[in-house]
Amino acid sequence: MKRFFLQSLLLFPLCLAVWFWLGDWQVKVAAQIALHVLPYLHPFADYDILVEGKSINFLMLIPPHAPDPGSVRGKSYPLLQLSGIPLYMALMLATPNVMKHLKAFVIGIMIVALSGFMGVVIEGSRHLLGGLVMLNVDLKKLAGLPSYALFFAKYLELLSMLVLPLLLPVAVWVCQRRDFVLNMIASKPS
Amino acid sequence: MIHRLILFVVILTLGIGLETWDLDHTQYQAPWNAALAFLAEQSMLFFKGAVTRAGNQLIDPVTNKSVLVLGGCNGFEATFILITAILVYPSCMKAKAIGISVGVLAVQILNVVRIICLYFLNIWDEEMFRFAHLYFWQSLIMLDVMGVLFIWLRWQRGACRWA
Repeated sequence: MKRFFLQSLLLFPLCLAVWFWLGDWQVKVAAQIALHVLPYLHPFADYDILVEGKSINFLMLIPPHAPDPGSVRGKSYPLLQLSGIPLYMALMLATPNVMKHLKAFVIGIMIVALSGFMGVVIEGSRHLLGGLVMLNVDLKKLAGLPSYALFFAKYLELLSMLVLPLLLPVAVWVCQRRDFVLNMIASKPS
Repeated sequence: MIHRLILFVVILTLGIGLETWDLDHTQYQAPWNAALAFLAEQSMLFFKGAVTRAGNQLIDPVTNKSVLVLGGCNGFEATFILITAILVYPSCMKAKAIGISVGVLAVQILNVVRIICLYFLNIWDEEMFRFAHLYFWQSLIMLDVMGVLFIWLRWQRGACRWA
């Protein structure tokens, strides 16, 4: 167990560096997914998505006839939702026989990444809902959204930003390398 | 097994709901954040570090740069994951109580180290501070939670046998 955790600790900064180096590419994918999914969630909102380095701006456009015309800007850092990837990579690489589980490794990264991308969509959705509230739009009239939608969106945002990037990599790793985990727990202290 | 997993998800979901409710950090999180800031301040003063504190804000008296201990920085999520995992695992009450006490302490000690590290990084380089704050320390604290949990899982079998 000691050896495994030491290896994880040493591998984590390396995985983090590689993951961050590929950050721009991940942000672009996240922006594209948000661009394709958000119209289904907010068919009535008029908005644009702008990529700025490692951040995404959700730009809610407010029509000229509104009391405060202009735009509402919501900034998002998609790498926050995707930060579970280096943790998962470090855990998998520190586990023995990683080459035998290469397929599981790739699938695991895809699961963690997909969850992160969905987290970005949720955050974008929350920004747009916030914009709609500023426009004094009755949320009940918009695609049947209840008035507590903003609280729910905030809740999902918190979940996708702070809990899933921590919990999902560990959960996927435990599921994929269950035998190793059980052996580690059952073995006598080293 | 499945019912424990469901219980874990339900308790965790409720806990995060509680945090969403307190997003402005005025209720139960405020004293926790202030206590963490106090511990970080006292630790730095013990090692002759220069720092002043105003509530949950740590301020460098030379540069006037400061860090705020808020929700997301207080280790609430990691602590809650650990407590929930220990609570739902089939073990005796004594082992659970010891696991939660020692585990929360271990997570929060590392969290104080994290706050101190971020305080100095903020003075030194804001870009490095942002990187460490958003990406590095979150996962490191989760590794700490995992370590504590696995050590507890191994220890609790013997502890419950003696009880």
